[in-house]
Amino acid sequence: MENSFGDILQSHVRDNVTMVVRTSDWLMLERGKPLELARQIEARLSVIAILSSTIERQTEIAAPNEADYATLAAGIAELPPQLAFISESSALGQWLNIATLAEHDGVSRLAQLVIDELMRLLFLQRKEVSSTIERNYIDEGIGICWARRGRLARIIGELDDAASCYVMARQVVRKLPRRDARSMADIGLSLVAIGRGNFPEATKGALRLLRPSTNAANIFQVHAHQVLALTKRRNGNLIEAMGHAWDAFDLASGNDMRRLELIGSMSEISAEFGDLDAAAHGFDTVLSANVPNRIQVPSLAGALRLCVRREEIAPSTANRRALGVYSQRFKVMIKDGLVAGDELLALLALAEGDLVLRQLQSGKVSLERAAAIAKQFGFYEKQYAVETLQARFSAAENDPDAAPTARPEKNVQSLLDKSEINWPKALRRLAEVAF
Amino acid sequence: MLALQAIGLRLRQPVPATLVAVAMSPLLIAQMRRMTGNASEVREVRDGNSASEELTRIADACLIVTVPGERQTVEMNDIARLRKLHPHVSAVAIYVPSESSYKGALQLGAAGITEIVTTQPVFDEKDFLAALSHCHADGVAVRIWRLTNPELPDALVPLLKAALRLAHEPVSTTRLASAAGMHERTLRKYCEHEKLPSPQWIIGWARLLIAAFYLEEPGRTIGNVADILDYPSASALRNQIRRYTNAPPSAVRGQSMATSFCRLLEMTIREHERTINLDQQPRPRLSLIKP
Repeated sequence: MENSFGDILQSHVRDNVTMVVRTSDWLMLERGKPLELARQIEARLSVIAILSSTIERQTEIAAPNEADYATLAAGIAELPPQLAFISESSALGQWLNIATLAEHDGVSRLAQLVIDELMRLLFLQRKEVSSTIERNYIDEGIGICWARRGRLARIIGELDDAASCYVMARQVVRKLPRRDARSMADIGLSLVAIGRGNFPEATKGALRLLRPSTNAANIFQVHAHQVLALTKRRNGNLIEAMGHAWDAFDLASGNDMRRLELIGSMSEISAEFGDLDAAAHGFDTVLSANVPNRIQVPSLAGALRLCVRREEIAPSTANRRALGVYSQRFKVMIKDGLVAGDELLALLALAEGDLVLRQLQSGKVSLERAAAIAKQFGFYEKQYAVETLQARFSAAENDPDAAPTARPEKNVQSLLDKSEINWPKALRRLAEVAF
Repeated sequence: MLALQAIGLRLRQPVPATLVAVAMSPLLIAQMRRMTGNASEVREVRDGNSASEELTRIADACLIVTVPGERQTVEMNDIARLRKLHPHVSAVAIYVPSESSYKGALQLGAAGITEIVTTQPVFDEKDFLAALSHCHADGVAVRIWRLTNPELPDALVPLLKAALRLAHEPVSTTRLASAAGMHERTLRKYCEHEKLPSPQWIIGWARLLIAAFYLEEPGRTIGNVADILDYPSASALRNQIRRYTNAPPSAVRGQSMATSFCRLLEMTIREHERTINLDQQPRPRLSLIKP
């Protein structure tokens, strides 16, 4: 029988249950500890841990220690805005910023600790207040916390958990006017639907947010356009997808991180459209910036896939070299630790690279791991991608001399004819976009 | 307890009886003595070896250390060694801006501590006492586990241990689920999948084991224990004992109450597993056609 709490946490933990009762448990955890970005910012994490430890002992929401919060200010300033209605200078806003920073640094469990404690304090505060206005404000706060919990679960790939949290958020604020919590929950549920491959549901949720009567804040409209860009792209409607991506890009003025994310997604659309140069430029723009994994991984996967496509069309040494560089970068990231969804994306891209280079064995290993992740976390849509790739691997094994099949290009002219957008101009704008 | 009530802090649960402070400034020691009053005795020691001796001798002790600075590797190693020698003792790390470093807090945390308290901008009394309460709760949980040494399914162990640490206050399923890093519904599904009883049942047993631990102490009344564990009334605790053990408190109260409750818990779990396995056996098919 073990004695220490560290042992208590480590020894009997099953694969998907890691008990973290207090911040001190998180400090002792090996797993769930900093990813590659976080190693460089140990001091920042320590401050967040100290603050998280403090909030656990509070009996009402007090602003975080001013000196400690000031040390996080630079990091917080880099974060994309999260809320439209809660003031960032309020105690609640400041604690939410701390949680967002923890999440941004890849330590979602620490972020969850802060959010849970905030929720506990909000519940305590709710018992004390008698005025309806104050109670509504607290309910909005609780709703935001649930939505944030949902986001944390979604990012680590726990889609069922995420959906439950978003539904809780919606329930808490169902009688209140639409502010942050409701919109966050709606967007979150749309993203969960995308994760599950339910595009009609995702589209429905996003369109609801864009209705004029909904009167959603600007940042949530950006999210809604992003969701629509994704669903339209998956449905093969590239023109509309690009239109929504540009709408989001224009609305997200002043938010560089979001714009970089959008450039990544527009580059993917361009790649599907067949404009590989514009796509490559977009991916390079994203990869040269200091962005978190959730933005970096899709762009790296996109850049790697571009190399694969170029290799299929016209093999070249330079292209193979670039492919090797991207693959190596992915391998390092996987070794350092990626969240489930990102690891899955990385593994699929690696497998595609291996297929085109005819490195079937290593590709199959990546695919096996990808299949396991997709099954474990319920990424149904990605499961389909895994199975398609597995079929291509089997075909390649059966006919080792055959060159990998080049995918048919989309009929670009027919798409252009239907478009109301000045398409060449839009692609040029993407190629020129710079920060 | 009087000292705590005087500052308006409603701390039901006690704090550790002895605080062993290692190589701390006299100012901090004086502040700690003032804050804890009669509730805890603060013992000042110079180094890890003396602290180790004290911790071996005293049962209900809590280690108090300062978070070392970035270059204080000797101090860091000393504390890490001490934590290895006495892993079951709760520890509070005090962050002193003039001596400590943020990185030191992360490194010390990896060695194992129960709480971090900061003296920036002030060494807050309420905060420190709440940290000591957490230490006490963790200490009680560890002592119960070592005392009873239960044989339970692997999947139940982390949940029950977490519930024990939280059980000084009423614990909701949401709280236990959040300690497991999941939503309440997912925790229920997990319990079903692992053939465990419901999370609420696990919490109930954790609260009961803690109650049994306190009831073993001489002079404790049911009302007193109900107050420590924040039950609405003494009757609520009595009813819970009756519900879980099928016996009135007077019949189960004794010297090794926690241990006997634990054996009962093991039996109940075995019974639960047996029932589940029976349920999962294929039912005999009804034959409607006569042979």
